[in-house]
Amino acid sequence: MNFSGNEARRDEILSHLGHEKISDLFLQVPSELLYPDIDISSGLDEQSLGKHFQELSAANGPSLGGLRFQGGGFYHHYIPAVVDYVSSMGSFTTAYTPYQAEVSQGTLQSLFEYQTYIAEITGMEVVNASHYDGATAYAEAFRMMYEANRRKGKRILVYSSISREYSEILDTYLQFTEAQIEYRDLFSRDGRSGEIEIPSDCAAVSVSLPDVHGRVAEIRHLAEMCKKAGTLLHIHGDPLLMSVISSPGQLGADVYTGEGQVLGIPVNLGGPYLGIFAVSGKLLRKIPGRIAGETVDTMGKRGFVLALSTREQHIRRERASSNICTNQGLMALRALVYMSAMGRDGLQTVARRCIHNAHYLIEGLRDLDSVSIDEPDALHFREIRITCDYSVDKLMKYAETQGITPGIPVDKNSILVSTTEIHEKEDLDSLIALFHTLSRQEG
Amino acid sequence: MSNDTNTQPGTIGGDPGHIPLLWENIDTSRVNQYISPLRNESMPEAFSALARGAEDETSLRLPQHNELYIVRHFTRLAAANFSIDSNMYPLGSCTMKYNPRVNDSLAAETGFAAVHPSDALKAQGSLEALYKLQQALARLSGFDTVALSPAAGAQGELTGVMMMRKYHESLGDYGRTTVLVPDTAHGTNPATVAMCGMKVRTIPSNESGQVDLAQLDELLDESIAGMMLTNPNTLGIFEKDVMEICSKVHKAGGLMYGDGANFNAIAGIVQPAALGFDVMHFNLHKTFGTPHGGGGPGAGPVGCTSQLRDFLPGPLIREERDSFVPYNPEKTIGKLKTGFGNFGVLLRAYAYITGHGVDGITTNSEMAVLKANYLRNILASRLPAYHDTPTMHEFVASNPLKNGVSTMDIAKMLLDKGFHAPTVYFPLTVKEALMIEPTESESFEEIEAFAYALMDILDTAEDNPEQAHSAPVTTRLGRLDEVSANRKPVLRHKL
Repeated sequence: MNFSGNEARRDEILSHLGHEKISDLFLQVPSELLYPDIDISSGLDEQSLGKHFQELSAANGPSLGGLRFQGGGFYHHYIPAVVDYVSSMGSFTTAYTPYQAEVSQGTLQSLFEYQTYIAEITGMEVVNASHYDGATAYAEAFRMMYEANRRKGKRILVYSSISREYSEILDTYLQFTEAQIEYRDLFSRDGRSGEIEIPSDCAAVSVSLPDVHGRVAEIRHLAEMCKKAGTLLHIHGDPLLMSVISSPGQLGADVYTGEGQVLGIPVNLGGPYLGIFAVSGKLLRKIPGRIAGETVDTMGKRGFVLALSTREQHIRRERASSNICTNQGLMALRALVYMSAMGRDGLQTVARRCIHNAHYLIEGLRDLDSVSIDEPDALHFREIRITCDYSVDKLMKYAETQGITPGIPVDKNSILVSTTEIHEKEDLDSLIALFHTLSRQEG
Repeated sequence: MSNDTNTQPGTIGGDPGHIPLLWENIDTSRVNQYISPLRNESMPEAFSALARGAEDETSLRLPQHNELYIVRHFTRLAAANFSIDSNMYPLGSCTMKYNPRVNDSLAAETGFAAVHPSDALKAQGSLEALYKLQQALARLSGFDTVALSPAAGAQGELTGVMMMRKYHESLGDYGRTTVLVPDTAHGTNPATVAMCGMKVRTIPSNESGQVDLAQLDELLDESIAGMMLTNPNTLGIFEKDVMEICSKVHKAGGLMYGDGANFNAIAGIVQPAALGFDVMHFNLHKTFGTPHGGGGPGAGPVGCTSQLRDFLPGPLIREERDSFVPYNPEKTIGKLKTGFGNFGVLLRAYAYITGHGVDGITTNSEMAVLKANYLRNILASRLPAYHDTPTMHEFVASNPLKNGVSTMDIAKMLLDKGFHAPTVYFPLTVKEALMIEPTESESFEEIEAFAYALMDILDTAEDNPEQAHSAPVTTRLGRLDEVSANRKPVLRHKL
């Protein structure tokens, strides 16, 4: 394959420029290093390339098919065909950051609409044009809060269980700061009994809704405590769940982040995803990343531009709020098309089905002696953690014979089971039956 | 599904191109056609205490349009964009080359896109593609090992600079906290250094647009962790003294970071590792033709020497007996991104490299440089390159007009001619800069058309500055007021 245009005039142009051979163009390059031997095959025609990819795709077979209940932060949801259709339009995919606003209104208006959707769902005032993924938005939110409120102190309390992957990414991002992260849990005895204390040297408090085990905590009390203590409150929330519970803005959050993968983006082995990042008005100048804003042209007609770029690296260089340059524009577009196609009704339907299904599983397993469910009476969104009397290894092996992948093993005896609207009642019944069969075998 | 329609107002205030926001024709009467609610739905008791209450009703005002409305809305928005598909897009330093369609269609296949990250070990085809991409990038650059997970060039930079700092710390050297950055560097370079808790020392460029060696000597001392260098640099100039620069920095105990933003000029031509770089990021959306997506997603893999490989972020892929397995390097700086990075982007880049082969990649670099040189040559009399030094894949010129016509005016006049503007006002070392990168994809004829349009614009602007100030006039919207967008920011639609 080659897409470098017409070769026919190559020599003519070369000699027009006064060169004899193409390597004359590289006179600044140390000549002894020019044209090294590189052990990569020659190119393929498109048909052969397609064949190679078919083979790779076929080798993925074991990772696909059957009944699957994996989540852990990334979920299979139904994606309407219109999402793929719109997001593959060349006018969106092959444009870049909208530096020339007058010829980038498609991208800019989409981003502005995306920001408005997220603002409506989360109740937050300022939404950026997206971040790499939920975890990097999460980590950068911590950096931002630490910088914004450091006169209060270096401590940040995380009042939720988060995934190992999230805490690793957080550690990576914070490793050269003096921020101190302390992990608590609203579902522990201390958290629940209302004996939460916010230390005076605490810059921020962070909660995840749901937490890594699918549990959704009641945080009104915690939010009030944060307000009294002058501590920033960060909510990392699932955007679908946010459409049916009290919004972060309503709860008094100063910062909201979320993983937007669930809004019409395939799981795709981890990316590209969509980092959602929003703040209250007082943090307007601190939020990292691009933001689309409304303005007018010379005739007073409405249009959109990139706004507030004086926060950003290309202007402020080492004094910028972050080094982030591009966003995840095309993923924000996917999320926008998804949200606009689903509408309020559709988003809430999906969210309610995730809750319904998780609790259907809880009710189906609650009376089974050989398993215990983590916090069965709490609100669960999509996920539950199940601890078995037998090993998860045994569960996985038996499930495989039934064509079921029951979830992601957490430790020797526990598994994280995830369900979304893609599961029908019969699917859930099959999973419940699986646990019952194993229970009988054990008994 | 029902197919009733609602109206998309075509003209508001006599403007046929006006595209209403999704809320401006709000219709909440339709139910979604995609997922039916459950008939026997039951919500747990715990839900009622948390449910979105009546006070929140005003904050979930989401329209419910039918699908035709949605398709029309976005089709019209798409038409309001310039893109590589529709217009030449010579945006310097961004490498707006053709994005082969086959790569998109291969990467979108369910066999790849539907794999959950927790199933990676069972997705041997995907891991093989990642392994081979690591290998190909390592071979093209001459580096020992490549990590694919960084999500973008800026995150690649973050990775590399963190690795430099960790490397020094692993030797017990905590005093190396300064990083040298040329004044022509992208803003992400100094911003990255600051994010790693280190200090920036700026190196001025010399008259030929390259690092000033005498200045470099003066700035090197024991506090230097390393230097970040883009090569070719943002002026489109290959740093002639790059090997000497690397050796000076190494002698001072520092490491050399390569910003690979401009790798498209030298892929297949020369290996950064051979020049003396220790660690470098690649921008797959530039060199390897993955779509820019209106600003992401990109991917910013990082390659390094064997000396630094233990610090790379995981997961990396290696071949063990008959299978591919992910692993984390021993002294890793830690994970930076969920899953395996922007896998969909990585897969497209792998298709690009496999399809082109080393021959196609080398030809692309040669043609990118040839075409930039041809453009520079045609424009020489009217818009000469700022520096006399040979050009690689792009060049920078300074606005020659002295009658008050700004670089921005010239950029907007180009839009009227159907060309996207070059990068403007960057690098900061060139006054009123225009940074022009045609890429190898543009035909010689298209490059000629662009050059003549640009010269025509300069003539018009010279004679008639008022006309220049009022551009663009052929786009639906005239020049947009960025000042008021910043002074009184409106960042969401007010409902």
